[in-house]
Amino acid sequence: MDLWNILEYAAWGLAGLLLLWMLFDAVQVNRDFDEELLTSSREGELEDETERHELT
Amino acid sequence: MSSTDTAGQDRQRISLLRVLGPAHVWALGVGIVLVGEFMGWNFSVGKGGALGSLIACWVIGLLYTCVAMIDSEVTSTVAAAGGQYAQAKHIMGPLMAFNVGLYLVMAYTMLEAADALVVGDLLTSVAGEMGHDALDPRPFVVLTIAALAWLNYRGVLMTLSVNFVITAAAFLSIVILFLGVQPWNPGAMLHHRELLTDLPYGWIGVIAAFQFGIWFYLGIEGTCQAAEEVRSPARSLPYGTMSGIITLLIAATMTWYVATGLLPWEFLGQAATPLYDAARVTGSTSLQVFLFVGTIFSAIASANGCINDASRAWFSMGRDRYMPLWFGAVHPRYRTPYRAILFLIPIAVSFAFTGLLDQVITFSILSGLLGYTFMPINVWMFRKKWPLGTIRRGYVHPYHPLPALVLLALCITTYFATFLGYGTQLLAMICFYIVASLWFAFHRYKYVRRGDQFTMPWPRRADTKEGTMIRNILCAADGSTVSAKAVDYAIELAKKLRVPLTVLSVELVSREDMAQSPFWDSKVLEASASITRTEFENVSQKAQSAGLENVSCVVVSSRHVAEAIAAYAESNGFDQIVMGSHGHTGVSRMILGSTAYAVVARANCPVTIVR
Repeated sequence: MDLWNILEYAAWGLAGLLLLWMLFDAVQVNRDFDEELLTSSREGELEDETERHELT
Repeated sequence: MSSTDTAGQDRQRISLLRVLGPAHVWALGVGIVLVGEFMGWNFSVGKGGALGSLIACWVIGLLYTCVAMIDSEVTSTVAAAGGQYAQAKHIMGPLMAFNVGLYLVMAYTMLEAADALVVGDLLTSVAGEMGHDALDPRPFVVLTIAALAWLNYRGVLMTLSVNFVITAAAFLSIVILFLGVQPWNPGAMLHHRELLTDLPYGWIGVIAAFQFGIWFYLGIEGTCQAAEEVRSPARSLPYGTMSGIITLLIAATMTWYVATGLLPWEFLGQAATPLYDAARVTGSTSLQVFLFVGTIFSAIASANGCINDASRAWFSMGRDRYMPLWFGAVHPRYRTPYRAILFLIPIAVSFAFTGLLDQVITFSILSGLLGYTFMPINVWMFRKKWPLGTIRRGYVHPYHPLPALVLLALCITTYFATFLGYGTQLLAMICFYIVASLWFAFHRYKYVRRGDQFTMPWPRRADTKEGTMIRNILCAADGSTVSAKAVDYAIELAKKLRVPLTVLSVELVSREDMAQSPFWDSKVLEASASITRTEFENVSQKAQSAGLENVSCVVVSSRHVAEAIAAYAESNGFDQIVMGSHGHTGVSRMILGSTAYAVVARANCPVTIVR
């Protein structure tokens, strides 16, 4: 086994770790947050409008 | 004023993060495309000879200049994630929108797979040169896709900042090669006089070369996908896109000039890595290293931008229920379309595992070409529905309808060129989109909530029939004494003109971010909220005593105050901004800067500064 074989295994391992991290995080987010909130984005909407008061 | 409604607090929403500037848009567009200079374009030399390739480079350059001009006008008006998909939805209708969305996802996912394949192939050839003959490229292909998907998953700012650096480095490697071959000294290293021949296959060869001329520019239209993440769409998208196409025209011309002066067309027309091969012919080790790094960087930048664009298109389709709503989710911390990013990973990997680089890239080009054919029809309808002067646009492209007609004619010619080389694939692709359209029309469309998909505030009309250009006023406030003067002035103005007034306060750090910070202190948060509350109470009292109705107080979060004010005014169609200035002059202004000055520079409506 030379350096390139080691690099092959390392690449598989690192790719697996990154994919698992994303999957784990996605599952955690799905569990911790309401689906309605996660899919609440609207086309062209300005983000972070944290407060709006209408004074009428 | 009789009541205070805190409507914003009970409808909590998360959106993509508006953090990008024109440089990121440039990095997205040029990053996707630049790999085409390092490989692929040279097959046009095989079809039409060196001069035929140059004609293809310029003619297809004209095609993409039309694409960039048309896109800049429509996207700076219809500024939503999904780019051309969102344009088609607003301008042409749902079936066209579905098809355009699918073209985008397919074109970018296949290009991403091809880029990952290139990285794997390059490493395999390096291992071969170092004596390791049977390197398996698959782990490196998967690692490339996984690492870039991870980067995209974690946030758009870092993703496109990385793309800016590696794209600039790749472009620089082309410039270094160009300067390294001494173009000012013809005959020393470059031998155009000996190497340039007539058209070896005549004009039909030149037409056939158009298909590969697309490689010089394929993907620049992807800048539109950043529309919901740029701080100022009307400014950043045209700047980023137009500077991107200029960069590519320069890069393409330098690439052609260097490669055809160093390599005979018979070899160049079949080379896998033409620029790297050109560097090898120079005999300079440093140029070889630069070009090898440039090739790898360009492939990574391209794959990175493709993940960004494909996921935004898929996310937008999910958000509008053209695909299941599940894909329309935004990550609450990273503010990215995380499910769309994850979903497209196995698709890109499976395309890459076929190992058929030319087939994958051909399908990608064909999907792109279908998208370009839609653009002239789209802009024609756009100008017809909303003629110049009726709505505000960030950019107006010149000589309409000439660019649309030129684009349509060049698309038809390129279809013919593609048919000459890849007729079966062209027909297979068209069949695929017909089947997909039938599925959408007869099955999927019933799930689309037709009203909900058009939530974007449409640009306001620019007519002056009512005798005033000011229909609503935005006043930026920060709790300071000058800000209080600005509020007074804005209330007087709103009362006089009988128009609505919105008072905007910008938080430098969002409450969510603050709450997640390890140094979070509830006292800091409360103090900040208290200042804002006091400001709003003052506004409320002043408006009440002035007898002004229809006043809103809004808080937004952004690290860039001036950008946030300008973007809010632009997105919500305000006609006038009023704000205070602390009046720094001379050195103190140079050091401290001026928010008011920055707003004046960025806003697309008049700004009144109160001192």
